[in-house]
Amino acid sequence: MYNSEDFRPLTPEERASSEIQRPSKTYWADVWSRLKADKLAMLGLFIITVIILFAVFAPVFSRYEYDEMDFNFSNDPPSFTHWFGCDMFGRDLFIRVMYGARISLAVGFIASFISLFIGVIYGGISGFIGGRCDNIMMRIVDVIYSVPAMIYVILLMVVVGPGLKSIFITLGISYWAPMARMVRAEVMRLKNEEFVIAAMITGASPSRILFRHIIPNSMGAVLVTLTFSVPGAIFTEAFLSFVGLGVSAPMASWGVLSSDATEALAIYPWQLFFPAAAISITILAFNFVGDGLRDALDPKLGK
Amino acid sequence: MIKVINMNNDEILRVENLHTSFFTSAGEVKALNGVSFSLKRGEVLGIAGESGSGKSTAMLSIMGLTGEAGRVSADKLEFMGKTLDAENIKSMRGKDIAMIFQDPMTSLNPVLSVGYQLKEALKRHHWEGSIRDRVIDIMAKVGIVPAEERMKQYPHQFSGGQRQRLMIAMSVICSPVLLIADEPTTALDVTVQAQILKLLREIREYSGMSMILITHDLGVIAGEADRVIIMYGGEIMEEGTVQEIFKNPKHPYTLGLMKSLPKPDSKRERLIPIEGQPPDLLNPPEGCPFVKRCQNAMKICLHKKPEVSVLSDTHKYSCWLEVKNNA
Amino acid sequence: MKIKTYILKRTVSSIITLFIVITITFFMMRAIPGGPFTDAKAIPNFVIEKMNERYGLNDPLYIQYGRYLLNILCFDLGPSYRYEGMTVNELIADSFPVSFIVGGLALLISLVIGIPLGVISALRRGKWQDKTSMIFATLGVTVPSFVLASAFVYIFAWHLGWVTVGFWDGISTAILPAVTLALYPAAFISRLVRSEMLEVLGQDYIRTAYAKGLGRSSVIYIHALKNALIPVITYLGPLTAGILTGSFVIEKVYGVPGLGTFFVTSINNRDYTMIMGVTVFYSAILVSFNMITDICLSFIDPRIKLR
Ligand SMILES: Nc1ncnc2c1ncn2[C@@H]1O[C@H](COP(=O)(O)OP(=O)(O)O)[C@@H](O)[C@H]1O
Ligand SMILES: [Mg+2]
Repeated sequence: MYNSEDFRPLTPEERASSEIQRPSKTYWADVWSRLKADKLAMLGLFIITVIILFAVFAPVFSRYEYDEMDFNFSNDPPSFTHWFGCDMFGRDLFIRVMYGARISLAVGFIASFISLFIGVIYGGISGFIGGRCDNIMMRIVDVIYSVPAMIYVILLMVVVGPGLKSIFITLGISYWAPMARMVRAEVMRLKNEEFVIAAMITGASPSRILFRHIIPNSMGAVLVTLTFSVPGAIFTEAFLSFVGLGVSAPMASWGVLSSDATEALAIYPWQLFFPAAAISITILAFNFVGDGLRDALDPKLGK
Repeated sequence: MIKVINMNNDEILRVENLHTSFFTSAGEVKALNGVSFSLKRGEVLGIAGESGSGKSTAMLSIMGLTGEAGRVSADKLEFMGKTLDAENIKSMRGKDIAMIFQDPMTSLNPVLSVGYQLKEALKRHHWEGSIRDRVIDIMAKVGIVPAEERMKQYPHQFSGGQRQRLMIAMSVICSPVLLIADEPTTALDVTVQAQILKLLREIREYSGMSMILITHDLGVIAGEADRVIIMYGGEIMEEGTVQEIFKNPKHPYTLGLMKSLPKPDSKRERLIPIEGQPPDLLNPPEGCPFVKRCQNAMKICLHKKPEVSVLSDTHKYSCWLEVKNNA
Repeated sequence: MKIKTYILKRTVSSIITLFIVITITFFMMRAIPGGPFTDAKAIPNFVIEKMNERYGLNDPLYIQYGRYLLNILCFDLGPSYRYEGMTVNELIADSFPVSFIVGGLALLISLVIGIPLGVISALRRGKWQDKTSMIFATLGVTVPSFVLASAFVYIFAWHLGWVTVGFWDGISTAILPAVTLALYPAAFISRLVRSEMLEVLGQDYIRTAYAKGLGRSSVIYIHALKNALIPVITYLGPLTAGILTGSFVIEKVYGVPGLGTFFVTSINNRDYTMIMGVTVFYSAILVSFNMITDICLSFIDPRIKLR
């Protein structure tokens, strides 16, 4: 029934080949491969790239300038010469939307990075030191939380006056509280991990431990928060334009363009359509990427 | 023509060739690959095996609780003469078969009072008599007193050991025939462990119910169980009475587990774990699941599932070594 | 901790928060370069002087601050700088009821739509019900409310002529603005409830409930929903905040004469007492609202009292 060959011991080679070779990837390579499998996230990333490319290059190659007026084309509908039509001053709306992309994306990214910077430092210190200091710092965040950020933004904008720089600063210093809370929670979680304790034993200074060991390990969560705070800032800027606190003419963000377009909406609806679509598509894209990233980082859901 | 189907009337549970898979985004996880066993009235069956070997999955398959992702198939799955299909198990859960879980901290609903959670099963199974009296009675039995006051409290107001007591109370409140205890003491302190095991023993002696006790602590099994099943990679490696398994372990995996037990006489308390990783259940091995980690692995082990060798009425194990020795 | 002590503690901390907000607001408004009247072009200097005199703006800062605090203690937000002869209190009293109707309706709509949608998509995960509601939810959080408002005005008012905008006539004119205002929060809530529900359904205590023999509906409605709704209650504070600030533009687009419209106007013509008054008023509403939801939460979630 059986031959002796069946019962000979395994050779080391056979033993090795019976092991399933699992490719060992680094953490981020793993996250990336999971993200790549997420079609919506990839679509989002693609859209964001296209929009950034347009924002950078379209104005360079365009026949028109964003502030070039030509009253012959005042309020023209979309056509082959003016793809998105013209506004009441006969300015080409395509180029204005592309310029708007520059401004809106700049607001989104710069404001987010400022709030990221403040939030990471604040939350990092609060979580790392802990105890009383943490208690006080988090009470302050609670107070900030209890008033809607939009109200501060409006107040601050009234104080510092309108303009692009004011918007960067105002949004940056108004939206760091969620980031700080998130980073603090991450730091508290990581603080007792082995690798941190190991670093402590080797005598690394606290600031080195915090900024070299703990914070880099919370980057995943930070990145997810960032993908949601960029569109948040774009949203807020558009909102500010609507209450008359946006960037000033002749520059225009998507918010200003939409806000201007609502005045004449009944007659020239396409003037609202293009900038509004630009905002919505961008925010949608960031949401796709953010959702995908969150799933890719969460080992429970993926696999 | 007379065929005795159930020679032993005492048998309450029979599982034959149980296969359970979970369908995940990564593919089909074949958690159980042909598990068979049976259980008698009043018997305590211990199931041991390292984590991931499919112990919980086997129990959840019996309870019909493998969830949406799970798919269960078996040649036979019978409890008290009834086939455990989706319909039947529904009315038996909590009444005839009850189950308690590993982590008492997360197994109770945090927003419902413990009294409410205790009453629920009674109401669901139309308890005859005073529900409130029964709750107070059972709480006193598991040592949560004064019951009248404590039933108004919420789970976070109890310690881990107390919560496991409440879980036990909740599971035996309808006097089930079988209690499945899935690692009931793993999450608890050593002293509390002993108390919980003692409580379970008392309830058994009092009510005569059967129990399946899952643990990866062979010491617990030696103390509590009548029979033992050793599982690995979704299959049963060895099965026998406590005496047979502890006096005369046969399967290399069982031997490995025994070695990893801290011996009372040795000074070294350190466990000697078996080297290597459990098999990948997404691509289960063709042959013996233990082949990778087995010191005595042979060529045949790679490609063919071992035959079951029967040493006695109760003692069986699946290993090619036995076949080789007999050949 | 007893529930009474908890309420007391929460009240005290709310008052402190409010005090901080008032202080920050006050000093921020005073930090604006020049006085409140400087950027209005056509006003001659002596008039500005007289106005400064009248509104007490020549007094030292701490006196002004003390006076402002005292007035607020008496619920007096001072005179409007731009609406001649009107106090901020009167302006708020006139316009807030309108905003309250629109906002309250929006709050209601967002909960009534958002919660069931989230529950359904969690229970029908991956099925068409889930996919449709999540498409709605994703669109809801991506389209800015003012775009939606403008589109609705264009379609329903000008194109179809079903509604008229630009005047106020009670509830019937509040519906469309409220729906617009509710879409973002409804979408957000449905996503929140869905993910919470999925999380809760994977918890051990749900398995315990099934192991007891409970049916699917009692497990979902008694064991899962109560846990899944706790984060929704926590979200009520930010939700109200969002509706309040969202109303600034929605009211403007629909021509609803609410506090939001007045606020935007006062921003545009730099009516500092009005801006300050509305900020303080809104903060007070939110702080009290947060307090109430926290107290409600402590009844629903028994673990809260321990903190
Ligand atoms: N719901 C599930 N989805 C996917 N895989 C599962 C699920 N439950 C269990 N498994 C897998 O089934 C195998 C057996 O798990 P389990 O029965 O929990 O083992 P044990 O209880 O012995 O530790 C493991 O590989 C585990 O990853
Ligand atoms: Mg288990």
